[in-house]
Amino acid sequence: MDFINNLAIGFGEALTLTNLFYCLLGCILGTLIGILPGLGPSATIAMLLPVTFTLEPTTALIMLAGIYYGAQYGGSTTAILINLPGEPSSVVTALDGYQMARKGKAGLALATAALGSFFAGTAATLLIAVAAPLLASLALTFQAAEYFSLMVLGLIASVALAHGSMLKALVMIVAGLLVGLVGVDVTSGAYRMTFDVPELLDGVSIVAVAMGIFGLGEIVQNLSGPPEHRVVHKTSLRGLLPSKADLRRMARPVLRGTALGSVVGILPGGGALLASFASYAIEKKLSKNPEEFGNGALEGVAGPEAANNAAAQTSFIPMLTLGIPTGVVMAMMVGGLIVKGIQPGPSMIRDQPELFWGLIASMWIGNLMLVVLNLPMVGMWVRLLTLPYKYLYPAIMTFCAVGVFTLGFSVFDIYVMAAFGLIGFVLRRLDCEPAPFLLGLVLGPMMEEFLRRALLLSRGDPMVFIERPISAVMLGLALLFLMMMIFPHIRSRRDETFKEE
Amino acid sequence: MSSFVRKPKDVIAGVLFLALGVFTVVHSLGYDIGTPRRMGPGMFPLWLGIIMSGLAVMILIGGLVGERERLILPGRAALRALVVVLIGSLAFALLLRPLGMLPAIALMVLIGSRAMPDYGWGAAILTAAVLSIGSVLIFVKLLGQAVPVFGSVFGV
Repeated sequence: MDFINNLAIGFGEALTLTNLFYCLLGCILGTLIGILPGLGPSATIAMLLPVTFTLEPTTALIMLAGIYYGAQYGGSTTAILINLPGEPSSVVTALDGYQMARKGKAGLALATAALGSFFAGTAATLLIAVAAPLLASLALTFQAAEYFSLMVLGLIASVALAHGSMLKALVMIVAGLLVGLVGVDVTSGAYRMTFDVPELLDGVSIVAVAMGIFGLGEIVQNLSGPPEHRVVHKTSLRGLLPSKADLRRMARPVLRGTALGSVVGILPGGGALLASFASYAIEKKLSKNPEEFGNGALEGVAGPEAANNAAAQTSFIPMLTLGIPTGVVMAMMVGGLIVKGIQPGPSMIRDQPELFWGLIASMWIGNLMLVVLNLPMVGMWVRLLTLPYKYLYPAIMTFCAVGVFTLGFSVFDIYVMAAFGLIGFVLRRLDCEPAPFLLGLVLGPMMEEFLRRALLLSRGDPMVFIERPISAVMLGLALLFLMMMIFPHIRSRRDETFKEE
Repeated sequence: MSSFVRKPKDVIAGVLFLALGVFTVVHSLGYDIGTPRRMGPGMFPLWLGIIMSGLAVMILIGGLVGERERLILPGRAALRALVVVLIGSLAFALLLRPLGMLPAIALMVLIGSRAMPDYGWGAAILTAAVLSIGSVLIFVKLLGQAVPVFGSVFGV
């Protein structure tokens, strides 16, 4: 049994003391920072990425994964307790979770979110263990043309999920690709767009850009508005464990949410947000008492929480098997792995099985840790929420500045971070979402390389992208996505999905 | 804003990206373009520049038709936060080598505290002390990063 053997390798790797420790540390740090208001998973990962650079690649990835879903859990906790979603995909959780908290059922809401997420995490982890090797072996037959088309598809699909204008999202992608090209061209050795700045020869640091846009950017955004008003509801730990009737009520929504999230998460574009919205809509439609939704429906917490956790988990699949990030968080993980000298892709499962399977096993362990960690520690997390922002944002500034410096011990990276803090601010003001930019930045050099190789193999004939069937299908899908966005009828439906109720 | 501009945000974004796109095209022509079979370093950026310019023109045109939108300028609080956070980070970058990590963080936090209008100096000094000492403990002592705690001016 290959499958069992592989999982055995994985658990053998994940259960070493070091890896368990960093998995736990990642989960705690992730939860901690996810709970702090105004810090989503992107900013959290950007801030903590440099911390992992001193670790072994497997350990680093395990810790990062822990931080990622820790931040997700933390986000739902704040959504339920103070109606402040820590990250976009918990917006839906806040709808009914907060209402439950207002009715004194905060404990039940938190337990529902935790158990739903745990079930979804377990199921999605199994799915990754089964599907990833298959996908990777398929991907090994890919040539440069397929990779190029796949990246086109991924980038176009990410536009479908961006807010607002499609044109602006597209132009942001192109800008990202372009900035990704800065530095020495590997093939010709030419210095591109370096403007005689020696520090630019190695290119623009992805992490520094992410910290500027998301780390510093979020501080400015949070300080821009009027002082926030936070009400923490008294949470009694009694009633934390759901009754049998509650469990029965949440079973079906969790199952549906898991299935939905697992599928949507794999799609390029990163679907945790879409998954939780869609799950909420489905549960509301299927419910016998739809009027309960928005007034504290248990199903409205269980379904979306399961969906967004499943999606968060399966969003690792494209990154691990194809080397293509589907969202900002995955883009930063790819950046982190590249710094460690590992190019994520289909050969990773074969060449570094302990890295791949260790990560899979640790995903499950991390999910288990979070359930064990979160429920009993809710009281402590709640106290954290009362920490005023005035102590928080200087800490974020410090972490960003020191973190970015330790990337390469280069002061220049701090200037890059500051510059992108400013650029990010201007672009957000112009309604240009920065997430597609970051995806482009990561993919830019890879895309050029694959385009170059594909055209070299085909002797300069661009028809190669259409003549190879898999490549043609992917380009066709990308075109379909584009048509869907341009075609107004479907676009109005897309807007509806995201409309808050 | 002149009368033919309907959506100022789109017009500004369009103009900015058009400028960047055109600049990229011109800049790329300075490199070897090559042939499709042997792409030179200039080809990919050249096409990106052309695509970007095209998209920018569409955004620009979109900003000249349709319903009017008002341009909402960033408020004082936002500008203050932006400027202070940037100055704080730049100060850290400039002072890190000469002063070392501990004083540089303390100064960055003190500057950063000015991002909030009612940040008392007492609280700011306390935050600066906690964060600078805490970072030294975490980054230098715990993680073993080779960042100098005190810099060259202290004769270290």
